[in-house]
Amino acid sequence: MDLDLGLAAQLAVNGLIAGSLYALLGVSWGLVFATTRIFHFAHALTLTVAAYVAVLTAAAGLGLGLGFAAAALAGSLCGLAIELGVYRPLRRVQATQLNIFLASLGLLIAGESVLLILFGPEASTLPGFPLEGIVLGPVAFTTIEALWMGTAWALVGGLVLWLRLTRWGRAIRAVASNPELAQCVGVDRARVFLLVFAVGSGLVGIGGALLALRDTASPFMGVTPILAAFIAVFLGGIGSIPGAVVGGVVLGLAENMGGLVLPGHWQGVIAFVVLFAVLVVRPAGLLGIAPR
Amino acid sequence: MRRLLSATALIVLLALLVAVPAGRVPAAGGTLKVGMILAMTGPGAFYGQVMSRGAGLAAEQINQGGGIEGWKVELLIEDHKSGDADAAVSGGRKLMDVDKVPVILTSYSAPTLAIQPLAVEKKVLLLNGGGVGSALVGKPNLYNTRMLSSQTAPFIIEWAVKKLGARRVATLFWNDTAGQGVNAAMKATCARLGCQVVAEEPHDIGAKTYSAQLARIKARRPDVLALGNFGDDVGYAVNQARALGLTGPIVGVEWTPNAQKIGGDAMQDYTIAVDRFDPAASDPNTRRFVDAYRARHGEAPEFYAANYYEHVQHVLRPLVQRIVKRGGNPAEPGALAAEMARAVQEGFAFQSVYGGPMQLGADGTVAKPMGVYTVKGTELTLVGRIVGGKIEG
Repeated sequence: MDLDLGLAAQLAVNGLIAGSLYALLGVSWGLVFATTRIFHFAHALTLTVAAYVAVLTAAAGLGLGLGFAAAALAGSLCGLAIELGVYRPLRRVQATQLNIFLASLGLLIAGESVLLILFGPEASTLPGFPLEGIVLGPVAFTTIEALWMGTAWALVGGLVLWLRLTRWGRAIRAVASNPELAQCVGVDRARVFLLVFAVGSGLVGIGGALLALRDTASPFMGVTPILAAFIAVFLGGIGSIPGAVVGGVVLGLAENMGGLVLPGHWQGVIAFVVLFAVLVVRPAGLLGIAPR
Repeated sequence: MRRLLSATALIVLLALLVAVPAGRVPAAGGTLKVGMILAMTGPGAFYGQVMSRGAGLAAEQINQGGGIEGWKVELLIEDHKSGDADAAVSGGRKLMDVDKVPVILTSYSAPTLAIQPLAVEKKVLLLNGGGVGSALVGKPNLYNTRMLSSQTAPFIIEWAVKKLGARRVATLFWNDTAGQGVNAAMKATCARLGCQVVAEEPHDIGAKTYSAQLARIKARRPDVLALGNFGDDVGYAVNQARALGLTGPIVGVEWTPNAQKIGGDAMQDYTIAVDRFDPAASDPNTRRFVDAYRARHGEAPEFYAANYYEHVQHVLRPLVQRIVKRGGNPAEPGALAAEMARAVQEGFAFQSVYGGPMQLGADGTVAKPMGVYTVKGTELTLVGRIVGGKIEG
């Protein structure tokens, strides 16, 4: 089989574009999961709510920049509300992880239905960014996709630095690593939970606005990208933020580079095959640390 | 003698009552339950909304006017979750077994095909105004009031070859019965007209990203991209194809105002062959529908709403009238299905909101006015008429 270099280059760029978003969504969900161990399916609802907030803000004539800021804020508030209104009361009554997961899933389904009633099923566009094609040799992408990559990597980089260099960042890592020991040394677990929900949900809020900018906002837009985020986290290794980043990029590249040999609609299958293959070889994920 | 006559009259009356089966007693009206299985949730929820609005408006108009020969229309809606055949069967069973509906309005190819055997078993009439798969042809009890892909797709390929000079065609289509049907029809037409299909890329229904498919298509250097997808997906596909540097003509079999909004400027010159509903047409049936729809929902209807309005107002209404006229009961199992078969056999001309009558065939297909349209600005412009199987223009 002859390798079409132009196609390979285009698919690699497509993979990097998709992988950038997966990395951002992966770290946003991975931060919550690694710290709280809650399988936060309603993260998809947060993404959707934030995307609609960005659309409404831009539609009100406040500009795209404010739209993104509003999406981040709405995401944070939505995440905090879910933690305070659903997960914390459930933990208080000793609900199992499965109970909490089911509550999260139910919240997502109910929330999507509410959004459907409020905004209708039509896709809503988020205008305000100049859409131009950028052609570099055999490779083409858009200015919005360039913005995706730039924003995603800036946010992921900022998060990694924040987790390493700040007191609260270290507290989050401590709780993620060993919750009991962290509590013994004075880390307030409840506040750390609130913090990761605020930060993770704020990040996914920006992810939602980015998705609405390239595609559109619609009531059921959240599940597919958040499923990709789950795969990125498990691929990279649970508890590892760099792992979620690597997992996201590997997933994006694998899905797209698979197009060299398979039709494009096999992307979803490729994602799970890659996850399966990695977990067979490294059960803890690419950068995860196996329990001793 | 008088006593004998009275006794004889009583016996004759009783004999008549026994002799006429209950179902043949002329019904003085009642409620006609009309089932609908639509995409009420999931990525295609938009279709469910507009289809139910169209049928709802017709039911409202009929009921406000006293019903059809005294028969009020009640709509019962089930959700097939944007193409899930299992959900369609479950909804269909509920409508047929519990609600005992004599007719179901369906959408999407796979859900329609999934419930069709049940409909035959329960003698229920099926009307489809959304699905376009060629597999929907020739199915008992099923009548399609939308032209199918096997009817429209050949014309757009013919247009691409004869007017746009297409020699290398790439197809991007829904990975389901409808999309595969469009692709098959496009390939067959291409083979007939001497062009080559250089890439065939299916995609999931409701996909928003086509990066891998379009990259593969671009690598095969087609001179025309032919779409076999529907609804919003058209807007996303056209937009991303242009962004990826595919500069050649893009043709397809569907255009909706929402897809236009999503595709934006990239939709310019996108060309389709379709049985097009024009909300600005002056036909009295069109005006009555469009004006009422606009008053009710604050916007012009598009063709999905039109098709389901048409089902209730222009297909069910005459069928019920015919049944009542011959002394039957339209709510009785099998009455509507049998009447439809009879009407089609007689060549009955159903009215249409597309302008003029529509002709339904015994194989379940419909003939409506067709044309080739190109996007100019944000609207479709007629560039060619399709008359008698030939493109003019």
